[in-house]
Amino acid sequence: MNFATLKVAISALAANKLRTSLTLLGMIIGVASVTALMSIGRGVERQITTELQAAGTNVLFIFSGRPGGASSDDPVKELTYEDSLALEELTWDGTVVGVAAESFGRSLSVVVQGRDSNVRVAGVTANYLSVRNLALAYGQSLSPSDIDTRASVAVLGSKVAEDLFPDDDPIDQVIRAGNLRLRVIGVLEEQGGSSGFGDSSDNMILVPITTAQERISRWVTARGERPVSSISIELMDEQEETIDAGAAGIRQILRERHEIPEEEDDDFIIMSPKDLIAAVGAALGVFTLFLGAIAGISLLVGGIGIMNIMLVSVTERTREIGIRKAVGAKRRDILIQFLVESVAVSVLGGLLGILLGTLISFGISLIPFGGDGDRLQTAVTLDIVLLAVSVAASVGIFFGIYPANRAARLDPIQALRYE
Amino acid sequence: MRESVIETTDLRKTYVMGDSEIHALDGVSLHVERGELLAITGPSGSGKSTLMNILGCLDRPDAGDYLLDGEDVATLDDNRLAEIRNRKIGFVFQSFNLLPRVSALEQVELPLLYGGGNKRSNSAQRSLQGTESTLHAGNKTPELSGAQQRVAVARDLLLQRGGAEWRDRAREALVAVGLEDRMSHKPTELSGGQQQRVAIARALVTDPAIILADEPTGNLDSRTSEELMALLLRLNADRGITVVFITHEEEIARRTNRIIRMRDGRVAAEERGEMGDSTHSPAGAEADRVPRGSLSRAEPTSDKRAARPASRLDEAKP
Repeated sequence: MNFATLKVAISALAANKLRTSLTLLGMIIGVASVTALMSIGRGVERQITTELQAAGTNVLFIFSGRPGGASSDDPVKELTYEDSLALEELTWDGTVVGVAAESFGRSLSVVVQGRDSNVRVAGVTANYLSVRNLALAYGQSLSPSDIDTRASVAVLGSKVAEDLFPDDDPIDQVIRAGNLRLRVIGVLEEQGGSSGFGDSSDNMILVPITTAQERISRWVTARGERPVSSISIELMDEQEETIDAGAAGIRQILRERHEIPEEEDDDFIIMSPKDLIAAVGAALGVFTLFLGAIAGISLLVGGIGIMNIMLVSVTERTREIGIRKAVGAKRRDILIQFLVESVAVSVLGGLLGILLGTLISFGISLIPFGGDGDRLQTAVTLDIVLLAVSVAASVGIFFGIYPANRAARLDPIQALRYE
Repeated sequence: MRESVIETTDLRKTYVMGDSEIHALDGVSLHVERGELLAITGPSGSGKSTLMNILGCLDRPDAGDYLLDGEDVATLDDNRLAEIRNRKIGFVFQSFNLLPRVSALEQVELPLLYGGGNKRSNSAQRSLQGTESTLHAGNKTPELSGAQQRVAVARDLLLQRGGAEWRDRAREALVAVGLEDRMSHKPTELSGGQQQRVAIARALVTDPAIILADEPTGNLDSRTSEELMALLLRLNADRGITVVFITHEEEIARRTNRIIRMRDGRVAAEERGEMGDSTHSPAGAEADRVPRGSLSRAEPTSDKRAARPASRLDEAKP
């Protein structure tokens, strides 16, 4: 193939502008839909991983449950506040920086100045904010003395603060949550989205864990310990070895406390955001490809369009093929000529399709949906572009090879006689 | 003793049509010398088209030998046949067979495009001559020429001289057929005679061993036919190109050195044409009878109207 071949292909395409543009349109629509749909998938993927990363990648989360998935007739011991206190021992060698526990939250009706709304209230330890990578917008955080004294104080999630006190400064205001009277001491910064670990802190009210256990849920285990929904462990860094060492320490302590025999499985699950990001990323990657494959159907239709038009073109130009063969064109020359033509259409269609798909994807990201004015993030990444171009080129080759081969195999004598 | 350019021995070709076998060629032996002007003629079904297809390397015989310009081409595969067509054969067809929407210059370049390898060595030789005469005048050392040739080839590749050289050769060919002022015209902008001249230029451009002209004047009026014949005769006389006419028109056949009359797939008779034996005919003798001016002049506009007389269509081709 050389420049002359390309020139011949382009002039042949230019000779039939309407036909060429309709064939192009088929490719453009196919590639544009692949690009747009995949950009949605990739956008969601990015949004979720970003949120997971915001929770901190040097944190381990512990839940009760069987690592392999628990069956209902296999009860597990709950994690307790006492477990979390025992895990404090791990901070001695510096691998673990902080241990925070979160009690089971409960949705309570909160009344402020006659307005009534339902908000989830959860008890947390004093270092919960730092371990979970949450920042205070203003006011104060829960202090260890608040925990010790079971103080009736609360830190509001950003959205809760906005809803309850649209006009006023919430600090030092008193709210009624269920039968509790709580003084607001701080408001969290907006976290956005759902973190993948329970609700977003934006919609929560945090109180001292001791207060929650005393005043909201008095549930105790058979051993008289107070259950928590999760324990978060902050590690000194996010190195693989640190995570492994931390997890090993946790397992040792918890297995001992839960009196788990050697041969039995853990009754708790240790999860690191890294694992989660990897797992979620893989799942969403499949989702993105799946979206692309659905859109790929329209690409297939575009490819069939190319094949159709190339077959017509070969028939129409039978005599031309005969002439070219008479003056010395080999099979390969003819094959390449027609192949270049179909690939030119598909690649040009692919490039224009990417352009259109990017515009569509940008348009989608501007449309608000859901009540909160949330927008679907989209991302046209390089791999999507490369995939779209290479798939378009392959479509051109795949659907062009049959017509081109047919042209190349024509008998020169019959082709010259063709009217 | 003159060099032979076509040498066939007992060519056979059989077609199966339903139940019956048709012996399109039933043992044709032919000897054509370089520079000869030959007519193959015969009624419909005599096998002259089949013979032309085989002589033109568009088809292979079922049996028999065919030496074209010293090369055995009877059993070559399609790709090798395409190469032979490109290098050794120039076709001139009754219906011109030009590419639509392509300028005369590009039509003539077409064979060069498909003979890329051939072109490169030619251009290397040409530039070699150039460098020798300019840089090494009077001091030609044979040891240098190999290196010089490589340099020349490399320079051609670098400067993409191939394209420019093709263009020059195509121009030369168009000038030779008197179309120097029609180079950028497309077939639809040319008269029938002019289109056929483009086809002749395309046949000429590769310096072929033979030009095969299949009823070359069949679609032209008598005046344009005459001009075209004169052009082909002059090319034969001036350049010594072997021209083989396949025709059923007696007037055309008679103006050659030799007439081969085909019947039922065999050579039925062989006669001398008006030009007699080519060995006795000094080059240019026939051409002198043709007014040369008419060749290079642009054709009169009248032949646009008469380019395709309908009456010629019912003279069926085999």
